[in-house]
Amino acid sequence: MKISIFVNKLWKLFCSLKLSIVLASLTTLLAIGGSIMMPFNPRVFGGLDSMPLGIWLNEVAAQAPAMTWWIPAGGILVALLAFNALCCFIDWLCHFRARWRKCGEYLIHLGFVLIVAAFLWGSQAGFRSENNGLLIGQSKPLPQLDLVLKLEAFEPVFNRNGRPVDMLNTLALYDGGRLLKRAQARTNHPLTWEGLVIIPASYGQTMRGGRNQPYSILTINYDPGVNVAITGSVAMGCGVLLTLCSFYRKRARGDRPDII
Amino acid sequence: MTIPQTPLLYGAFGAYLLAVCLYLLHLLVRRPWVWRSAFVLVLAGFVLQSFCLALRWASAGYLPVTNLFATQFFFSWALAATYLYFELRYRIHAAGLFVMFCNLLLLGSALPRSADIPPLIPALDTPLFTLHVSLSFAGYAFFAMAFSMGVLYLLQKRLQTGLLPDLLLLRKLNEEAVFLGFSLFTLCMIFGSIWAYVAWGYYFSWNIKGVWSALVWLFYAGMCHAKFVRRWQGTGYAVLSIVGFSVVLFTYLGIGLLMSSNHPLD
Repeated sequence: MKISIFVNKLWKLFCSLKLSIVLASLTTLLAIGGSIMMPFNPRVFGGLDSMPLGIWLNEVAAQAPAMTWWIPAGGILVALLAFNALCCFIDWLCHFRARWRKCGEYLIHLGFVLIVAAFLWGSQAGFRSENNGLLIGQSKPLPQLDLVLKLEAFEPVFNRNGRPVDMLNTLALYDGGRLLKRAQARTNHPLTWEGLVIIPASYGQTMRGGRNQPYSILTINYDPGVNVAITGSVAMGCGVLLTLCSFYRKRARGDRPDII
Repeated sequence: MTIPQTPLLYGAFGAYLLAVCLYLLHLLVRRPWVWRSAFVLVLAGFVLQSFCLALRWASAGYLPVTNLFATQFFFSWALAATYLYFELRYRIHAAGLFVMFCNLLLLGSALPRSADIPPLIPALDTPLFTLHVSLSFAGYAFFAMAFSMGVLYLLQKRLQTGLLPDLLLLRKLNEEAVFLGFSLFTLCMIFGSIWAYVAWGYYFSWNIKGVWSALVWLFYAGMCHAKFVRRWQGTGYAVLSIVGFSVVLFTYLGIGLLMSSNHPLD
């Protein structure tokens, strides 16, 4: 009996709206203070986007804990906030019959949980690689995924003034000789495959066999959580649209928010 | 074909300026024709701005919101649209004075800048850019309205005057502005993340702009919950709206102008 009362109280705390306000406020204040340091310390924070967060924390942040502690601390707060949102969502599901009108709001909660989970997954298990130069016909192994990437064709695109405006890369992805995907990657149109994304970043020219040969410079990133993040985004987007539609109906019916 | 931008821009500014003067007059002369004339002038200014925006869009071939002038102009247009929405729905009248004054400052500071439309760089040549930017400033406009309602709430609490809407209505308008702003900004963040993934290979950037945009989202998500807590209703919510807009202004202008980011304004 005492245990069930304790569990009940604990569950109410996990689902608490006030807890979500406290966590969101703490995260906001912490990140406001910490992020001000970022533009003034490029040696520490400049490489954050070029590697997964897990690797950055182990290799870079560990060398400057006084400047970077706020990032893992903020991460813990966001993870707790996601846990709080998940508990709220489960609690809503358990009382669905009485609270179905809040479908939109709780889809937003679910979306947030999925996006945070995806980010944490990608931070630990993903990889990022920049400045991968490939000549036409050249292949590059991707040992982390046991795949091979081949540049089959490359063509820079110029405007009337001779300024480069795009890069057309015909890329092929192989698994042990078997073609998985072939696509023409260009600006805003990467080659993607199950969490892998290959983006034309730049190009150059090199002298080979007495001829000037162009080569493509690719960014190769892998995030295993990206499909979960996309699902979360779809859930959140649908939740927003549902909430917008239901907001006006609720106002017309005189529904007022619960006051706690 | 040369776009007749200048007369449209100054015409819109003039209409808003006259509207502000009439709203001020309405504080002294409480006649329907005064606020009706002010409303018509705001509508006229909005139509002129819309026409100018449409011309610029047609001429450029893309939504021209890529530099400081263009973003301020678009923000001003969105703020005017937001004001018109609240005026038509709630007849806020004198409460419009503060919002239109903010709009005057916005448009007035944009006018001295060059209105030339820069050529579109390939990285911005995607529908995701249009969706991301338009939703971002639509959200900002509602946050600006929430800021205005917050200021008016605190003023009304002190002055208790018949010139302003009652406290309950101001609170309701504040909550609605925050909710609508948060909804639109969430969609902005979703499209922005998708675009970041296809352009850069990751959906969250640790660039200062990305971090502060996430903070804006988190702050207003917190506000959407705070309205259910009795202690935060009314004055507390009004103060949060004012603080929230300062976070928005720093994210939009502070970072864009004072720091190096992946959303440069100049």
